[in-house]
Amino acid sequence: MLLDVRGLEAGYGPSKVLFGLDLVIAEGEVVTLLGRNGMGKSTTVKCLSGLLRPTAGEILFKGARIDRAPPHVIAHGGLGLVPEGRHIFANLTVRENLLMAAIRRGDRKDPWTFERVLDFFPRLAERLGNGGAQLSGGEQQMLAIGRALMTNPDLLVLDEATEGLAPLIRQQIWRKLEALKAMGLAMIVIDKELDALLGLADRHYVIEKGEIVWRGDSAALDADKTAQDAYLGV
Amino acid sequence: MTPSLLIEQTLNGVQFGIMLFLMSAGLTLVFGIMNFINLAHGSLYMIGAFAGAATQAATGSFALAIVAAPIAAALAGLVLESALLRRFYGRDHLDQVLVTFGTILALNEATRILFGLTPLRMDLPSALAGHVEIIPGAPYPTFRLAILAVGLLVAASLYVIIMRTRLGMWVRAGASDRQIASAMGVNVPLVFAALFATGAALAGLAGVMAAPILSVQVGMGEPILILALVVTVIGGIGSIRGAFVAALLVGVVDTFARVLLTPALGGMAIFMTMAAILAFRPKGLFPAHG
Ligand SMILES: Nc1ncnc2c1ncn2[C@@H]1O[C@H](COP(=O)(O)OP(=O)(O)O)[C@@H](O)[C@H]1O
Ligand SMILES: [Mg+2]
Repeated sequence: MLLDVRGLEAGYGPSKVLFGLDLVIAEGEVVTLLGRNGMGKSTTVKCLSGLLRPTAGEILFKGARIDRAPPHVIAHGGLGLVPEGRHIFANLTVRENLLMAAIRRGDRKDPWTFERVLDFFPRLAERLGNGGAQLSGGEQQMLAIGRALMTNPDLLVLDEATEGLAPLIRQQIWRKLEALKAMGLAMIVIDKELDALLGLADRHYVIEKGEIVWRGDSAALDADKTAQDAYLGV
Repeated sequence: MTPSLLIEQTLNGVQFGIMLFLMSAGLTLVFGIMNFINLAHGSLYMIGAFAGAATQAATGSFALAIVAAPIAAALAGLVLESALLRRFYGRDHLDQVLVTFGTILALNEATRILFGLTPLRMDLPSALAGHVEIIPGAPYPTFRLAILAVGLLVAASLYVIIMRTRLGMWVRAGASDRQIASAMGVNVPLVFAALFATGAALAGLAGVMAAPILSVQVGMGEPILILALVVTVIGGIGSIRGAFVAALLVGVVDTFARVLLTPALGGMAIFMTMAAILAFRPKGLFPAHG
């Protein structure tokens, strides 16, 4: 297993958010975390990337415990984060936002480099000297993904990567994620757009009130209208 | 005001500004990255001045004193950061103000015990003690020109490191969003310890450069700390460029206000400048946080 989460519990001070969450991801697999707002998806992401320390449970990444590791160690271990809200460094240029994240790994056949990320997102090549704050929402999102790719991750975690973007831009992002999947990159994708997710992902987890309440592959989720209504409907 | 006085006071103001920049650089980055208010930054300035004066007294060498001061301050900064201040990064600002204020009192008392209350003095070597005619009829102290040159050189190096190197990108990314920077692989605690030590060294350098002009005594760090805080706020917390511009502004405004206005009004000028700037730019001139 690439990622193995067992009995994860976490929260903010006295308020508990995750109540024993279990999930696994194999190499090259694309998995979604679904669920309504406030159910604990981003909290899970924060635990995975080391930004929030779990109160119980284990997270194994490539066989090693990372639930007590600091964020930079986890990033160097190969977990790439595209955070909710993008969080581009506003005081860095586009070029710097990419270069600051570069992590070289000896074991890659075809590593992500500055040039390769620009080939992947040609839009960014036109904006290299711009400050992060001067970009459109779509460009910021491409930059957030490109920045995570610069760390040469084995697992890419995308939290609401299409949120607030125009439909056309969303489509572009989905196509890029398809391309990354085709390259064999494992991903955890959190998003609202179920149709796109059904096409992209292998398996799905539905999280409700900090617990996994449904799990299955795309065909099963597509067929299970009851689950869709119960857990994802508005 | 005659042209030569104008030039002289402008140079004084710029030179004071450069010294303020050395003081503020560490303060603003530490505040910006770790959201940590370090009132004890002025004590590192004092430590630099005392280390310089003591080194000169012991060895007779001015050059050694200039080298010893930033090293002593950096070491003091590292010890302070790793033994005490690091524990307060996650705490609220009041806790930080209290612990660093306590640190000021402790360091002042320790300095009093070690060196006594009589101010120490630092003497200039003859090469720096004289005057240079910058324009005919306007002699200007060589040492002040040397401060200007060294300060500009340090400021330029710092600027290049912060704006042109990967380490600098990490520092700025950390200042903008510490958590996300660490999630992108930046070892923020390590970068921060290095930054703290560098900021301490610059404060120590400022202290030893001020030593031959002012007197070296217990409590000398506090007035300069207040000015450095003003510079940090005007420049925008976490911004090295902001600190540079604001330091020159404060240095020149303070110098001229003291020459042109009554002492009471002159002392207030920079605070009025700060209020005026914050009225239009509440986050300062170059805010690092979005
Ligand atoms: N920084 C925080 N401090 C306190 N509570 C938080 C914080 N972040 C999220 N929460 C709470 O935790 C719960 C789960 O939030 P989150 O994981 O962001 O949900 P999701 O990403 O599924 O929308 C919500 O009730 C939210 O209000
Ligand atoms: Mg969320």
